[in-house]
Amino acid sequence: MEAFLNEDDIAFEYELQKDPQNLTAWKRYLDHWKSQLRDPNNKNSKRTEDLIEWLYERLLLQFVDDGELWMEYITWQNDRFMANKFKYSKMTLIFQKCLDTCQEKTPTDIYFMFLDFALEQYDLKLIREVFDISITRLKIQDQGTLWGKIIEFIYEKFLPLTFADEEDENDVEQDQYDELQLLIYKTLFATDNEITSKNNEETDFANVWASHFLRRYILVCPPSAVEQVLQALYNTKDYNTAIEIYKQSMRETKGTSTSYLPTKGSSFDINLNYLKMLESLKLEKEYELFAEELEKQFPTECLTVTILKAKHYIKQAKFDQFEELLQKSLKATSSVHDFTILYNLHLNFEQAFLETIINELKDNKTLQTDPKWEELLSSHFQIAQDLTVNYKLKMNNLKLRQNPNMISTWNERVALFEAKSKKVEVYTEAIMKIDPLKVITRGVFGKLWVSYAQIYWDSKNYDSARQIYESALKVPFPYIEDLEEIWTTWINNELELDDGVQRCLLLLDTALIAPDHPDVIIDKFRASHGKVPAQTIVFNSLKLWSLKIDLLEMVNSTFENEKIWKDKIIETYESAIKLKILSPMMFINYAHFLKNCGRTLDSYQVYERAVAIFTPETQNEIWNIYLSEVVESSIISKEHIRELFDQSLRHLIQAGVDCKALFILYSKYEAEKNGLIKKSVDILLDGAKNNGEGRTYLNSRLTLWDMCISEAESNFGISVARELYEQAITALPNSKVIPYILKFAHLEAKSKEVTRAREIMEYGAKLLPPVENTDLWEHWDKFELEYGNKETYKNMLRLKRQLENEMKIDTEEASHNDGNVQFVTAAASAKQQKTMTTSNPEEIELDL
Amino acid sequence: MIEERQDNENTNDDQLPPIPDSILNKYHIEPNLAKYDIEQTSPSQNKSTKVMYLRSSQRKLDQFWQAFIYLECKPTRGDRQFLSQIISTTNNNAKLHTSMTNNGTALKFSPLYRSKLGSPQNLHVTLTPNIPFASEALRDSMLQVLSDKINKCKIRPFVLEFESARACKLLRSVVNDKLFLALDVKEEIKRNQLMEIHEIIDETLKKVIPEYYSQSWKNRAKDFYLNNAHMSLAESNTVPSRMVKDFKKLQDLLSYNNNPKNCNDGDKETIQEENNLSFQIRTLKVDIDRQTLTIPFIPL
Repeated sequence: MEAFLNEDDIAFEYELQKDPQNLTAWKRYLDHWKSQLRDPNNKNSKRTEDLIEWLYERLLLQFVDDGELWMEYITWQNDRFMANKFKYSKMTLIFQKCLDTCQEKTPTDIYFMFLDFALEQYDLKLIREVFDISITRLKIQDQGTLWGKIIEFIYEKFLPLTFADEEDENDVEQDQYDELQLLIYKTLFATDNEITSKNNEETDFANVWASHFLRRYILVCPPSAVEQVLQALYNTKDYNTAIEIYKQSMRETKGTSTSYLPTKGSSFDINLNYLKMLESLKLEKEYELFAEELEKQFPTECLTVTILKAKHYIKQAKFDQFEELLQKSLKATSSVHDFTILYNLHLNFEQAFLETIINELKDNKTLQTDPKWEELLSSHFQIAQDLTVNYKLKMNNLKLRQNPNMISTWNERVALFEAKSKKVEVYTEAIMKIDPLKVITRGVFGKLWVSYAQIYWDSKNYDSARQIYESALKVPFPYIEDLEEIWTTWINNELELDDGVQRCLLLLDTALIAPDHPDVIIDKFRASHGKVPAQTIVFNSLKLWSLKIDLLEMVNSTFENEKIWKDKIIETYESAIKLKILSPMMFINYAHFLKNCGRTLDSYQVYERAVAIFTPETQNEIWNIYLSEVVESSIISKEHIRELFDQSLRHLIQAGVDCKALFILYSKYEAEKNGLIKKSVDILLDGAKNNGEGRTYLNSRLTLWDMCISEAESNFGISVARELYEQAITALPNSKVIPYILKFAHLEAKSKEVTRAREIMEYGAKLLPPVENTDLWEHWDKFELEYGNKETYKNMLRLKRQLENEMKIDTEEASHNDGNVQFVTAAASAKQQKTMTTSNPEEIELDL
Repeated sequence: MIEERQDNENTNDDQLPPIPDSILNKYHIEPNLAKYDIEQTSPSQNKSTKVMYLRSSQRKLDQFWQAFIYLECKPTRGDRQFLSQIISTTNNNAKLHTSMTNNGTALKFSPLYRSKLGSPQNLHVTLTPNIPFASEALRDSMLQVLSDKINKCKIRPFVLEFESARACKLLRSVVNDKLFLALDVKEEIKRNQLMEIHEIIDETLKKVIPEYYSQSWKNRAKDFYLNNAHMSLAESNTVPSRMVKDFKKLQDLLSYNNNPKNCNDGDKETIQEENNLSFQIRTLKVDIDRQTLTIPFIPL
């Protein structure tokens, strides 16, 4: 001892001997030594930390249960330990000595420090000891901190570290095929040692250590933390403990139930953990029951459960159950995503199964003697083949599960089969499953029925086909297109048979029977939005009426005599007219039919009935056809024909329809049939003036002006033509009037009226800027060279320059406004006149 | 009418399966169009009697759920040819008697084994009239009771046979506007299977709708649907009332044996006696609304 003490220390030692309980003296003594602590860089310093420790030990012998002193000492030692100045076991002993000597007086922080120390060292045994002693000595409010430290350690350090390898192994996105191969190999060929190689005592201890704490913690943790604890428990892989705690935990929420089944009280993941634990613990019965219930409770998670179950069956070598499960699931799923995953799993399994066995048989000759492998290969090869060959069919099944009323899917299904008998099966299945009111596309369900019947018809099994057609006609379709399809196909098929015409007429007569109140029934159908069956309005089908009329007109030999046949056609047309469904073309056909029957006047009446029904545009077409026939006829008077023309033109012009053809027809009629040229020209003039306004039907009016002027010029000479030219030039827009100016000028020049011709061209020149009026200027240029002199030519050029300078803006605007010609040209003209009188025209030298 | 003759129709039914009954049953009655063909007018407006009649009859129908029980006979192509022969012979007989003409047009029967549109149609032996039920539940209950009783009874699938075609008889509609040509069910079948079926139906109705069931109804039903159990083959619906009034005479005139032409064995139109009709009956049929239900007889 003397070796450690020096002269300075004697005074302290005496004082302590005199009064060993003098804490102040001890502290001074300690401080003195600490101040003399050997500096590694100072060779003269004497005190070592071991000496200070010795002094602390002496002090603590005097103050055995002084928590404060222990705290100070442990903190000092801990710093030393942290600085790697002694071994961990020594630090443990110091903590333990403190706890032993202080007992209940141990400061709370020392427990925490000790636990932190143990956690830091990952000493599971020590952690448990410290925790156990701490939890019994600490007050309840401090126990939470203790639990917090432990749980944090388990969640964040222990579980990720202890099971890191296995977790990683599961997390790797292993190719499913390889995974299945491994599973299959393990199930079929691996020895027990290979399977259980990973289990060892160390892991078991770790499992139990963690589960022990979690088991205790779940009893005191807040309800919101229960799921997390359960998840951690599962991660410990101490399934024997975990499953018990899972059961207890669930039982609490479920009341008196003794058996644990999935409930929505716990999350799906927790339930899934339970299922996996049942598998690990080989509790087969419970596994099946629980998995079944899990699917019921969490229908959206069926896929996960199915995949888990499938792999479970592989592990258990229950390959038949695997097949059954996958086939059942593929048949049940309504999701393309789920279907694809399950299908790939199934196919991968079959291929992996075959490959694994084949490889093993190659490597292990003794296995080849066992016939079971060949049988297995054969059956699984067939399954794999079925999966690949019938992929489209399975996909089609899925689509039908999604929507059995999608006709296109049924048609795709029919196309998958070659044999007629198979196609027939699909059609019957479709018809039984489809709800006609839920088919959204018009006519497609009717087409499906027709395709079904067509198979029988093509096989010459006509009666069966007829039965199908007739059944189809009883389906309450919401759309008439379906029924039209069925009726027309049936009729067209019957028509191909030798005596089919009568049957077709019978069918059409039946289809087109009109109800007592057609308008009422049509209104009801329209207002029902599919609730009233389309059979109610078949009588109103234009398609069927057209078919009936076409058929009747085609088959006169079927009737006893021609009169009956004609009467039947007329009756049919009249019925259709009564129902207001005849198209304009059918009216025209009706009129032609009557005309061909020698009933021309009746045919004219049909035209007149038609024009009373349709829109003005359609009326125009009908009037043209009607009047074209009338003008060739001799059975009605000229006055009547004129009255018809006037009536049609009056009505159609008022309705704003282009009547050019009618004006021309009328004009021709007067000229050619009656020799009234003047009237003919007047009709054209009337049309040229009144057939539309502005740009509406402008081209038609131009044609009528052309015809009108041409007729007048050739029949009545220049005087009448001159008057018409003036009217046309005044009436037509600037952009269209120049050709008439030129023709008019040409006409005057031809008559030696040179001055008049020049004035006309001058008038025309002022209508448009020269740059836009090149035709006129070229024409005038030639005209002056032929008929004029130097002076007139100069005047022409002067005018052109003036117009180029002064009319530019006004005329540009005016030229864009075709309908406003008179005002613009008048204004432009007036301005021009003014300019010409006030300006000083430049002299132009000509070289003629 | 589509003639029953050998055309180029394929008779080899093996190539394609027959049309399943499920389809024919699902859509065997067309939508009721008459109920939409009514003007929306108030009763105070003076509209035609017909419209008013339609409305009231519709209302009556709408008040009840109905069921109609029968045995269905599915004629083969050969059966149809045979039936066609019977009808043709009867129509020929009608032509021979001036008293059976109406303004020069002879009475003519159209086959019931083809629909108006010409497709094959099943025939039936009616077992009840349209039975009205106050509620759908009551009708469902009747079907359940009937089904249970049929399941427990000793009737097995059987062959329904008819009396000779020479005994083909004439029947008239309730309102005397139609005539029917019918074949009687064989006495032996009536006494055995039909009798038992009738008893089951009786018991069922007595249990489910006692207010409808009465002794008089039972006697009437027994008389018409059992003693006179028949299968109608053809109908004539353009019969002048003058003819129907003298129904007995009409029956005699149309009787097969009363026609000298039929005594000539060499005549091609005579009915081949040996070709009697028979149908395999496996189910009892019940029409409800637009649906047909089947109650099978349990085979041995």
